Amino acid sequence: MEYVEILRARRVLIWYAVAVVATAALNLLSLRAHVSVQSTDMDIHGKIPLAAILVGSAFVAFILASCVAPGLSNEGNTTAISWTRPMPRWVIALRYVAVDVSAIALGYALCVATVLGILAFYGLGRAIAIDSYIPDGLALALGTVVMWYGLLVAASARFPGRGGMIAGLSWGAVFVLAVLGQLPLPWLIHDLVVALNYLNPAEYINGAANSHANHVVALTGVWREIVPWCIGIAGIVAGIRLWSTREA
Amino acid sequence: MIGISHLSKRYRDVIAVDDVTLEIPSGSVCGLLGRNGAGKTTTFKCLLGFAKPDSGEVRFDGEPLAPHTFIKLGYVPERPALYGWMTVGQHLEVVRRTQPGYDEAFARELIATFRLDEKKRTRRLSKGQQTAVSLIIALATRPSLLILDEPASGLDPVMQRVVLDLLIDAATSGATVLISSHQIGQIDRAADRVAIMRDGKIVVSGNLDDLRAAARVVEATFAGDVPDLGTLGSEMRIERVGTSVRAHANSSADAVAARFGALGAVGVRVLDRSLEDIFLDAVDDGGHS
Repeated sequence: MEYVEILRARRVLIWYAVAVVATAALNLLSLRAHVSVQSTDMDIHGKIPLAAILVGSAFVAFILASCVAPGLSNEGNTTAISWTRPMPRWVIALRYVAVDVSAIALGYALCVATVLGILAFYGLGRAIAIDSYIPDGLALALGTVVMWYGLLVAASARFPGRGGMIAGLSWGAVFVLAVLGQLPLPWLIHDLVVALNYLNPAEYINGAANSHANHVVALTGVWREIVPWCIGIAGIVAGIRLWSTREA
Repeated sequence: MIGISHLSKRYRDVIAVDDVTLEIPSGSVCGLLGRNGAGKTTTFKCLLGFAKPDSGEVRFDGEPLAPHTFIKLGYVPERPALYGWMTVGQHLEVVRRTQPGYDEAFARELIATFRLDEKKRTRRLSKGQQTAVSLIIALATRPSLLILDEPASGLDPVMQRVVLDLLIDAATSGATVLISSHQIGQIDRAADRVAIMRDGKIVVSGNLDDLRAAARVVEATFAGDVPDLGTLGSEMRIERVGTSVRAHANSSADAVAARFGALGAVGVRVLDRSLEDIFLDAVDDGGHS
């Protein structure tokens, strides 16, 4: 049954790859003039942490996750096919998730490779700093992507055919929550916003990237990396459960 | 064999299926009839596990529904439920990958019969062609249990005949077929058993020939105005057309014919009723079934 999701993910990946390559091409064109003037300065003084590239690429993977996460929800109109296969529904859902996660990992790797390729093209490979933050950066990046995916799966599991809309609205919710988290709101509303921001994957990345920012998510060290994974996996489990037990 | 025992399903205040009990033996085609909202589709949903019944049980060949039941069960939904962005061939690939009993040669034969293009996306097919794809998905594994909700909807008369022939062939090979349709002629042709639902209940069920024999009409013609029929009007459904009277007498046909004779009828005929008559009688709130 995962064949359907493989086809669906393949379509998404093709469009995603086209978008990434097109964006890279535009960046190359715009960087050409910029780098030709300042490349000497960057080579001498600038360092580009690989961890930052890994974490920054998570935002691009969020887009891919938003496209594949509604897969189970999209099965709402085709349960006559998907629910009449001779296997438990949770197995079908788990296989869908496996396909989605593989597609997201592939898309993430493509994004990182594209960024590194652009830097290498301009001879900035030596400016990439390989330091001890790379494992932490990778764990945080992948954790927030899994968190984003898991929350979307859980939120859309009981809304057949509405997964795309929910994924779209979630982007708005993420930015609104992030902005509200920085505003001086009455304490009760502020506490509510802060609590909701613990479910906002962008806030985990934002806090890690900017050490001077007013952190809404007050987690440090390894907890900032573990919590997104836990929320993401819990979301996936809840989504599978909700989808498998709903009525058509 | 499909066995339904005391099945009930309620949606908030509405009782969609009310204590339905039905047994369909192997090698039999059972037509499930009823007006819109009678509970046919909800019954199917409960059968397939798409909806959880509040009470009662369903058994397929003596076993409760389980994932492996779908190895031998084919289902055609009321509205074609296909992936619009996938081709006909990709739909069959889904079946090939998931159903051990997939018969490639038979699937190709059905595609040729329904004149479908395997490379065409299903969203570009007509409603009838989409129904045909749903039928092929259900039939390509040669299932021994078939549940079909309006399977000939949107098909042209030639294809409707083909579908009915396929179902009769399946039943002849020992399959159990449960089919719902608003086209009574289809049921009349394909089914050997019928069950009629009204307000979530089965109000009539049994062998079609037996039902026809038990449900008879007495038609009487009078020379002038129809005389006072006495208590007949309250005992059974009476239709008057000019100087003729039709009495839905069922098992008391001979006695009613004699009463018409005594009332001075110049012509009296006892007729077997059609399935349509039986259906209309059963779903008529004020009727006698």
